[in-house]
Amino acid sequence: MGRPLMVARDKWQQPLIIAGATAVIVVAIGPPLVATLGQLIGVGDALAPFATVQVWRLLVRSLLLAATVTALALAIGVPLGITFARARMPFQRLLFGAHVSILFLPPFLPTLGLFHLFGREGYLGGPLSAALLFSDLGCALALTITLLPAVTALTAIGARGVDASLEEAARIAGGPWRAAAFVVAPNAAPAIALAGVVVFALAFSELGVPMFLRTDVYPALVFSRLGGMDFAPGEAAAFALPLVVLAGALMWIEQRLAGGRAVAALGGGLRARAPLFAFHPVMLGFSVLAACASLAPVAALLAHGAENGGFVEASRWIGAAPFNSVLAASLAAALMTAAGAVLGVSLAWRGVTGVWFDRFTVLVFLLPSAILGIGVAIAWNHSATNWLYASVLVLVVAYVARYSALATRTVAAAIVQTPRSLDNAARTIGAGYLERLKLQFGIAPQALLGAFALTLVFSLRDLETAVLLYPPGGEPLTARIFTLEANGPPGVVSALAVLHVLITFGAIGLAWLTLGQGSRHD
Amino acid sequence: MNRRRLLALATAAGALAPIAACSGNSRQVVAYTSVDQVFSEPVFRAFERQSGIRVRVVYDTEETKSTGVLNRLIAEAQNPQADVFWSGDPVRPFQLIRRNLVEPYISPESAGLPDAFKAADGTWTGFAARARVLMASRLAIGQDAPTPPRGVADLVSPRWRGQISIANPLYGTTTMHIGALFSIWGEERTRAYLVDLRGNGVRIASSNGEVKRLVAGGEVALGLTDSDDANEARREGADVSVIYPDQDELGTLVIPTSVVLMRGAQRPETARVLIDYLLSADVERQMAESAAHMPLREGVPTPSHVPSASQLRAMQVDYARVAEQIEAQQDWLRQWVGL
Repeated sequence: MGRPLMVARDKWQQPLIIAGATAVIVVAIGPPLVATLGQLIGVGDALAPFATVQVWRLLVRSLLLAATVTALALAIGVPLGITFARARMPFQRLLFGAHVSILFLPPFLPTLGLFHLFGREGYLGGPLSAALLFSDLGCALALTITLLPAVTALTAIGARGVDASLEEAARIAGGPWRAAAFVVAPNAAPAIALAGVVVFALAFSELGVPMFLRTDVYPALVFSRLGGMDFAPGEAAAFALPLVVLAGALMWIEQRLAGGRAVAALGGGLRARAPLFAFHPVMLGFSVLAACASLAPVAALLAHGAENGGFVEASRWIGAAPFNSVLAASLAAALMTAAGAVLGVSLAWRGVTGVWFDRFTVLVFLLPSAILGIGVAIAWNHSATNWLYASVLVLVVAYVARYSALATRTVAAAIVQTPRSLDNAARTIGAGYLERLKLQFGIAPQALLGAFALTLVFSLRDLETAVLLYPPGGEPLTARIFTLEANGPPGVVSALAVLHVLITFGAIGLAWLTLGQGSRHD
Repeated sequence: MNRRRLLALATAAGALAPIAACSGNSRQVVAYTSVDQVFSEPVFRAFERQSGIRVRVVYDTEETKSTGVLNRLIAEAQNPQADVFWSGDPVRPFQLIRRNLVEPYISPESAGLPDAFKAADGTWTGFAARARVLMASRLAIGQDAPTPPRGVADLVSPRWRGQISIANPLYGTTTMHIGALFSIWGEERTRAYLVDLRGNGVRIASSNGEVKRLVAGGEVALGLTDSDDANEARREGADVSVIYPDQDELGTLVIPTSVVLMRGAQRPETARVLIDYLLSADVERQMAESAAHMPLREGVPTPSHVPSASQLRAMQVDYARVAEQIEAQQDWLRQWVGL
């Protein structure tokens, strides 16, 4: 092919592919956001709902709760993440997998597991443990247990990305502990900052756990305008305004702490290296404890399910829910990965499109899902779009809107580790945009697998969006677990929660086998 | 063909199946319900077996019971997805009636149901009812139990301080119970009562199911909940007793489930067939057996632990007025709850 033809092809390829990727995001996020803004305008004075002290009291309470959870998660998760990443120990992967498995469940379900453990009638419970669980501190601890693996995982990935020669020099000069404290942790700061932001955002927006543990939080205020007797989506949208400010603040904090490296530090997990710490029983104990903390609520659900015949009864109640879950989540994850592949590369190279779409999608990720759900309903429930709204596609759209930031960030994290000079060389010899993308993902195939797996997990565990929008007869497993919770046979909810964890592992395993193998063939 | 292409093909085929399933309207019906899934789903499945009509259902969650699905119906008003709404109580339909979202339908099966539990114009029809009951934990109260309360007014007694739980009155049947008190006692007395209740350390649970858990677990001595929740606790072997409150004067609140035909239903014919089925004596029997719901028509056999509605002194309420009170008191109730 002649060079002029290749240049001409690149001219149309790049804008077309980027337009396609941005269209996926715009179609998913734009209409519900416009619909929500329309509701907000309908309220008139959007600041009027903030006139009461109660609103501000709840906002402060939620901020304190999220700050406590974030502080606890960082205090435990950072050393734990460095341990998992840089220490030699037996069963490392198994322990790490067990520790992060709790992230596969909507936080409400592990909390139900904690109730089976520490409630007054729980396996390890009594009046004191029940009083602690049903308190503000109990709520903070439950959320910490649920969200801690996010910090551990991101810190571990960040720690693996630290320059090996720098780490080695520090280890020789000051020993492994000083190297970890003064080189590994500071160099993993961008990943830790991102982890802090994610945990703060998830803890702040969580509704199910505080409602169950009877802790008043700000998202309940938003929800009361959508799930209460007077349906007031405009007022709910107004109450979401502080969250927009909060999202902006969190992004600013992340940028301040991580600077241009906000994405860069996440890609280092691709490289293998010798451990920093030799085997140490205390580290093994710490890791086992962390794995047990995650597994304990799931084990309680398992025991409760088995004890009450939940697994026998589950087949009667599970219906097509696993199929609905996997179908909607895998379609959404595929779309998010495709769009994220393009936008992630742009973000990694600090392209304007990538940077702005990252901000846009992160903002939506931080919004309460109920607001987004109502926006989707208003935007897509028309006779002309009934084919979408009344089918599984409505969940796909909602998941893409909510979680696409994760795909973009994951892809960017991996791509930024590849030398930019390769792309420049490919461009010089006249490779088109598509060929250059293929080159990038040939070097870092884990980018696509990671993006797919992460968005798949978050889509599978989604509860609050799904429960508002699932098509009649097409409920995903999380929604079914939640609707069966009302007077369902004892043990069935627990059994279905355990099955949900297994299905998530299975879906990830299948994706790994398919995409992972495929990427090796390429 | 490599594995990725196979996966893509399988995914596409899987995606098209439910979309195609959604497009046909003839032998299916879409129902939204706030009746517990565990009780309503077997009824829908029995209907499918009997009629050959497929029912596609949206169920409510415990936390938003009755209002989550109701608000989805309102949000979808411009293009109704539901053909039938089977409500867990008779007041939510008034929210839809007021918004002109209901198509009147007088089912031939409604003839045997008492007039007090159905609208003369066919906008809603009540059947299979629950009662609001007090669940008492023998575990928490212990052997030297004080005299159990006889009615809801007794819950403000210092004797029960910190020992009572009710569900959040912004959601579910608790909303209706509080609305009924407002309609009978009036605003001043009911608000004073609720303030006293709060002062007596009432624990506001996220749902009636959680009230059941708290009482069954002995974390509180008394819980105001629904008879079906109390029945489930009993079935699960919890050491609890059930009190039908206010049998002396005010009466126990009886809450029939109710069914409405949605205006603009995409499948009105099959919707009417489903409504006829739901209002049949057979469904009242099924609901009595599985969910301890009291049949409203005479002559339906019930298990021994399920009283018939006629055996109770029922609170005399106008459901339309209860619905008005619920809306009128929303702001005040939110403040009372702390939202």
